[in-house]
Amino acid sequence: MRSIIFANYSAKDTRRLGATMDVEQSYVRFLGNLILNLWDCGGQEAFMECYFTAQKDNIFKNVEVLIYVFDVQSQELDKDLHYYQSCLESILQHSSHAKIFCLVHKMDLISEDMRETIFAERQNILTDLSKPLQCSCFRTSIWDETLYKAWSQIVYQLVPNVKGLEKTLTNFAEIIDADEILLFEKATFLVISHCTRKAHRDPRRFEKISDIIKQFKLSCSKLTAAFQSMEVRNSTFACFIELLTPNTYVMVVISDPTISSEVTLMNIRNARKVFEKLEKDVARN
Amino acid sequence: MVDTTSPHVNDTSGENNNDPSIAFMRPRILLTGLRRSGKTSIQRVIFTKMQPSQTQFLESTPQLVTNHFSCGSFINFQVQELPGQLHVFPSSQSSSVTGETNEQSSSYDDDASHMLGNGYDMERLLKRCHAVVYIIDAQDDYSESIARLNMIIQLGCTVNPKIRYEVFIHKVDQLSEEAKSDTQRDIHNQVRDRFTDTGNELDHWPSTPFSSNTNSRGVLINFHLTSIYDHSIFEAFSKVIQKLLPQFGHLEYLLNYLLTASNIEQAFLFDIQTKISIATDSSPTDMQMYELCCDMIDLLINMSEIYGQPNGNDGDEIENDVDYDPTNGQEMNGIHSAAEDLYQNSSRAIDQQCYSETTDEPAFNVFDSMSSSVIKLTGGRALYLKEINHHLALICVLREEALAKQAIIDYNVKQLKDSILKL
Repeated sequence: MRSIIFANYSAKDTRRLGATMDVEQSYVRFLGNLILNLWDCGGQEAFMECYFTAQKDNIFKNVEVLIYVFDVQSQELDKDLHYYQSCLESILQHSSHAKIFCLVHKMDLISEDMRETIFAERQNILTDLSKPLQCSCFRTSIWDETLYKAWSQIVYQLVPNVKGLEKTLTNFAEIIDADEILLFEKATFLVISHCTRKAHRDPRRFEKISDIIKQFKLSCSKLTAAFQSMEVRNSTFACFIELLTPNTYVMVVISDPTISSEVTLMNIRNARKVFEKLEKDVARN
Repeated sequence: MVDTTSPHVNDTSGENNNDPSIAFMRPRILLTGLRRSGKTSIQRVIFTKMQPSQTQFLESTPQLVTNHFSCGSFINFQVQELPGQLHVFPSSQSSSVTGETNEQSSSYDDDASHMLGNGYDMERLLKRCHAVVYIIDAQDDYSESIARLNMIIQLGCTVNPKIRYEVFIHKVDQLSEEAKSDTQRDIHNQVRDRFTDTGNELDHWPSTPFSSNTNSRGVLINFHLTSIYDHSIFEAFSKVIQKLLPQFGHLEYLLNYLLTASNIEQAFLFDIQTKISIATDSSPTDMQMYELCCDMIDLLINMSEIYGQPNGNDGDEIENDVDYDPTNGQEMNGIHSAAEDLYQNSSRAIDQQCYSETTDEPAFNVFDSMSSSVIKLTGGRALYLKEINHHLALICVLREEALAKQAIIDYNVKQLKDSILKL
C-alpha cells in the first residue's frame, strides 16, 4: 500500500516487494512542507513480539496516526485481534491522542456479494475492541479505488488548517459557478479537500478519480514525461485539472458548457494567489 | 469437434447489411493459426476489452467465428476466425466429411486445393477474403505452424492472388529483444525456404529485411511481433486494418494536410472502442506515443462516465458500480458471439450455429459530439483529442505553443471532420 500511494508503484509492481524486515522508516513529503515519518512495521511474529516488549517506547511514542492492517483472509483472527489489542494498550500508554485507522485489506479476494457483510462484521468487532479509543474502519484492496478512499481519509486528518481550506474552496466554487471542486495533494493525488455544490449520484467518485489520474500518470512516466494539466469535456460537463499551489492540484467541474475554457482557466490562475497565501500562512504557524 | 451443446439459434446469415454492394466492399480478414496460438484471445482483447490475464481461461474455438466490426458509415470489417484444429483430407473423401476422421499431416504436399477442415472449405474462404492474418506462437516449436502457413499461401496464390498475408509472431512478451529479432529472422527464413523447397514456380524473394516482402508474383507478406500483454497487438492490428481500408489513402492525405495547416506534429484517427488507429499521418510513430493515446482515450471515457452522464440520471445512488474499472475500460453493450455456417454439403450443417455479432452501436453514450480533451505534458508537448463521430476520435500531438492558436486548430479539425463524414 505504501508503495502504491507514496512511491508511484502500480498494483502489479507490488508483486516484487519482499517481506518487510523489522521496521522500515521512510520520510514522505506531503503538501510541500509537511514531512510524514512513516514507520512500516513488518508483520512476522518475531517482530510483533519485539514491538510490544523491547521496542515499545521507541515505536509507540509521539504517534499521530496508527494504521493497523488486517488481512481479511487470515485464518488466525484471534491472534490478529490480540496483537491489535496490544497495539492499542501501547498507544494508550504513550500517545493517547493518536487517531486510529483499521484497514481490512485484500478485499478483492472475497466475492463481491459477501464483501459488505464481512466488512460490517469486522467493523463491529473492531470498534468494540477499541473502546475507549475510537477507530475508523475501511475495507481496502490495491486492485480498486477503495485503497484511495481509505488513505484519503487518513491524510485528511493530517492536513493542517483543513477547515480554512474548505472555506476558501467553497468561496471559489460560488464565484466561478462550479458544480464541484476537488483539491488533490500533488504527489499522491489523494483528495484532501472538496466542495460540492451540486449533488452527485456516485459517492465513490473521489477515489475513482484518484485512481484514474494515478493510472494516467504512470503511463505518462513511461514516456518520461509527466502531465501538467488537463481538460476533459463533453456536451454535459467540462472538467479542468490544474496545478493550484506548488503542492496541490485542483479539479474544477462545471456543467454549464457555454462557459469557455479560457474563462475557467483564468479564474483558476487568479485563485492561485489566494491559495498560495493560505499555504504560506499555515506553514508559518 | 463440433460443439453440439451450444444452443441452436436461428439461422440468420452473418451479414448485417442487406445491401449487397456494401457487403461486397467490406474487407474480410481471415484469422488463423494452429490451436492455442492465441487467435480468440486477440479478438477478445481487441474487440471486447477482455483483460489479457483472463484469456487463459478461454476454451478452444470449435467453429468459425465471424466478427463484424464497424465504426462509422464507411468503415466495415469482417474478421473470420478459423479454429486451429484443422484437419486435412484428400479430395476423394469430400462427400463424407465429418469431424472424426484421422488427420493426415503427411498429405500437406498433395491436394492442397481441396483442403477441408471441420467442414470448412479453405478455398472458398480464401477466395472471399482480402487478408490472412496468421498467428504463430513464438513460445512453441513453430515448424508445423510454418508448414501450415506455407500451404495456405500456396493455396491462396492459386485462388486469390490479391491476398495480403500478415504473420503475427505472437506471445513475444516473454522473450528478450535479442530473442525477438532472432525468432523473427528465423521464421522469415523458414517461410522462404519452405517455399523454394516445394518446387513451386515462385521466384526467390528479394533479400529485403523484414517488413515487406514481395516476389515477382506479388505475394505480400508482412511480419509483426505481437503480444496481448502490451500494446503491440493493437499496433499490429492497426497496421493491418489501415492497409485494407480503401479510404486510407484519402484519410492520410487529409491528416497530412491538417499537420501542415495547423503546425501539429502527429495526428491519429482512433476507434474509441477497440483503440485501433484507423489512420495516421505519414510521419513515423513510436509505440509509446500510441500507448499514450490509448491511455488518453481511457482517461476521457472514465472521466466522462463519472461526470458526463446525460441528465436524468441524477438522483440515483450508485451502490455497486460493477461496470467501473479504470484499467479495463467500459464493458461493451450488445456483444454476442458469432459463428457462421459455411459448410453446406454435409448433413451436419444443422448443428453449426449462427448467432450474430455486431459492433455497430455506439459503445459509449458519454462520448458525444462535444467530447474533447486537452492534456499538457511537461516538455512542452500537448495532446489534443476531438470527437469525429460516435466511434472515431482524432488525437493530435503538438507543441504547447501551437496550441495557443487553438481557434485555428479547432476550425481545421472541424473541416477535417466534415470531410471524413462525407467520405
